[in-house]
Amino acid sequence: MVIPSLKSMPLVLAAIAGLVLFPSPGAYAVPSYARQTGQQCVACHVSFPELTPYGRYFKLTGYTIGQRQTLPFAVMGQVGMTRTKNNTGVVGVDPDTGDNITGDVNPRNGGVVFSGGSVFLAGKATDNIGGFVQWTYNPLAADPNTNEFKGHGQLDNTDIRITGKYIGAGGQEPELIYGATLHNNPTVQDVWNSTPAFGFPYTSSPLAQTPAVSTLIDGGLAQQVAGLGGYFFWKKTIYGELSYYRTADGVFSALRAGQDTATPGGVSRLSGYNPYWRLAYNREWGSHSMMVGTYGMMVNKLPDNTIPGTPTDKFTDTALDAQYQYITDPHTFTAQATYIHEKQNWDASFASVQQTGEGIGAGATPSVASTHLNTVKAKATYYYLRKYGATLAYVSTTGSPDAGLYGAQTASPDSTAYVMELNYLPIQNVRLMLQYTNYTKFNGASSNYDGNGRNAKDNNTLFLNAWFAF
Amino acid sequence: MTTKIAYLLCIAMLAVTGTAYADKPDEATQKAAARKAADLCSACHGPGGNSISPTFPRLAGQRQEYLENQLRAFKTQKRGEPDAHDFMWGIAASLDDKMIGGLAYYYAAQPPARGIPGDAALIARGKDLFDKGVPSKPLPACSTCHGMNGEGIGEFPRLAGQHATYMVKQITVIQSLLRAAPVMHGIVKEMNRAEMEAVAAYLQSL
Repeated sequence: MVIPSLKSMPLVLAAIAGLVLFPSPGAYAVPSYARQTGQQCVACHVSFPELTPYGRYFKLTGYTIGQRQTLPFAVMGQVGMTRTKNNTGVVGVDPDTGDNITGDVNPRNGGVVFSGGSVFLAGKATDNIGGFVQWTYNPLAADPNTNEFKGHGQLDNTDIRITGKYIGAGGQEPELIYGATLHNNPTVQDVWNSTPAFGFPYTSSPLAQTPAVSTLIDGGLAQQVAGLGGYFFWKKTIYGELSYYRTADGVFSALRAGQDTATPGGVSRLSGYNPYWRLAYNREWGSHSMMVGTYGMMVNKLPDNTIPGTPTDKFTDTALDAQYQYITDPHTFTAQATYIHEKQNWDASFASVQQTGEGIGAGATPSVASTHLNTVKAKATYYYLRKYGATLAYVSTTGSPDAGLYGAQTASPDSTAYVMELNYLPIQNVRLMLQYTNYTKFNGASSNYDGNGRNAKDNNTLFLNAWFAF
Repeated sequence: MTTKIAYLLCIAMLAVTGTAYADKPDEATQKAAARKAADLCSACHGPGGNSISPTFPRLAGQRQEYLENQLRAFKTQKRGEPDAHDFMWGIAASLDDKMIGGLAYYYAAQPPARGIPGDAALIARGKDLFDKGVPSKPLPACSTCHGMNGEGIGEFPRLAGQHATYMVKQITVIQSLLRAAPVMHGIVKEMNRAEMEAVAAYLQSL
C-alpha cells in the first residue's frame, strides 16, 4: 500500500496555517454560520453536529438568521489514530494461485493520519434562501485499480432551501414554518439527530473495518441522489415532509460530483422519483425537548448503475425514531434512537438469478424473492459544561438470511456493536475524541465470519481523533 | 443601614438615568419591533417574551428602561458573561437604536405569564430575604430597588415570574464580576447559594 502521508502534509499544514492565520473572532465554532449570526456554537449545537432547539429553528428557517456574509466559507479537518484489535487478516486473493493474501487489515494501524478535510460554502443568500455545500477531500480513498490510497475530492452533504414563515395578525411567534429543500442525502435535511445522516456516530475512523450491510436510507444513497422536497413545522409541534429522490444525473449531476459513476456497483442508480416521508411530533418544556416520529422511503433501484433500462428491485424503508434533550448549564443530557425496517423485493435480481443463474450486471444475487433488514441505533450522551462529554451507543443491523446476498459462510447480514466515546472540547472549534467500537457480530457471525477464522471482536476499533472546524 | 444605602443608591441611579428612557416609539417602529420579536426573538424567548426554557429569560412585562440598557450592553459588548457573549452579542449587533427602543417597548407591554409555583418553605425563606434582606450581611431588601412585588422600578428589572435558574445564574455571574452590574456587585458579594435559590424560587412563583 502507498500511504499518502507526504501527499497529505500540505493539507495538514494548510489546516494548521488556517487555524493560525484565520482564527475567527470570538472563537466561532462553525464560522460561516457563527459569523453570520454572531452567535457561538452552543447556541445551535449541543456539540457539533447535534442541534439544540434553536439550531433546529435556524435550519428550518433556511439558515437565514443573521447577516449575509461576503465570503461564507468554513473549513473542517480531522487528524486521527486508529488501532484495530487484530490487525492481521486476509486482505486479498492472489490472482495466480488463488491463495489468500494475509496482511495488515488497517495499513496505518496506530499511525497518525490526516483523514480528511472539508470546505463549506454555508450561509444565507437572501432572507428566505440559504444552505450549505460541503466539499470533502479524502486522502484515504482507495484507487479501484491498484487498491492503494489515492487522494480524492467529492461533493459531500449539501442542503439548499427556500423557506417562509406564517405569523398571523398580532401573532407572537411563527405559527407555521415552511420550505422547500434540494439536497443529496436522505435525512441530511432533517433537524433531529435520530435520523441517519446526522446521527451518531458523528464521525468514525476511515481506516476501521465496517460492516458490509446497511439499509438504503442509512447512508446507502448518500451523495448519489438529488432530493427535492417540501416541509412544514406547525407551532413547534408537528413536522411533516414529503421529498422525492432521483439519481443525481443530468442537471442534478453536481450533487454527486466526484462519485464513481462508471464502475459497476459504484453508486446507486434509481428509477424515476422515489418518495420519502417524515412526520414528527415535537414538544419543548422547561429545559427539556422531545420528539417522536416516523420517516421512510420507497425506492426503485436498478441492480447495476451502469446498465440503464433494466427492471428494478424495490426497497421500502419504514422507520421510527425518537429524541430527548435536556439542556442546561452545566449539565446536558441527550438521547436518540431509531428503528429502521427495510423490506427488499428483489423483483429484478431474483428473476435474473432464476433465469440465468446470475444477477443483473454487478447487481445482487438473491436466492429468494424478498428479504428484510432491521437497523436499530440508540445512543445517550452526557456533557458537562458542553466541554466534557461521554456517549454510549448501540448499533445493529440484522436481517433475514440469504446465502446469495451475503455469501455461504454466514448467509447473514447481521452486525451489532457497542460504541463508547469520550469527548473533550478545549474550545468550541475543536473536539478531541476517544471512540471505541466493540463488535459482538460482524457480517453475519460472532466468530469466523469470513471463513478464515476472523472473529467479530477482531475488528474492535480504538479511534483517537482531533476534529477541527473553523 | 444597608437597606437605606441601597435605597439611596436606587434613588440616585433613577435620578441620573430615569428620564433618559421609556420613550414611546413611533408606530412604524412598534410594528417592525413586534415583527422582529415574533420572527426572531421568540425562537428563544418564547411568544410575547414568555420563554419556556430557563436558559432564556422571560421578557414579558420587563421594564422598558432595563431592556433598552441590556440590549445596548449586548450591542456594545459591555455585558460579557458567557451566555451574553454566546447568544446575544451577535443578535444585538444587528439592532439599531430605533429597533432597540421598539423591542424594549414591545416586551414591556406584553402581559407576563403566571409565576411557577415551587417548594413552599423555600419560597417563604425567599420572600423573607426579598422583603427584609439579610441584616448580618451587606444584603438589603431586594424590594427596595426591584419593587414590593418584584415588578421592577425604573431601570431596575422586573424579577417577578422570572425563571429561578436564570436568576441564580445572573446573581452568580454578577458576584463573580462576569456581568457588570455596579449596584448589585456590593449587594450580592456575600450572598450564598442557598439564599440565591430561595429568593429565586420566591420570585419565580410571583
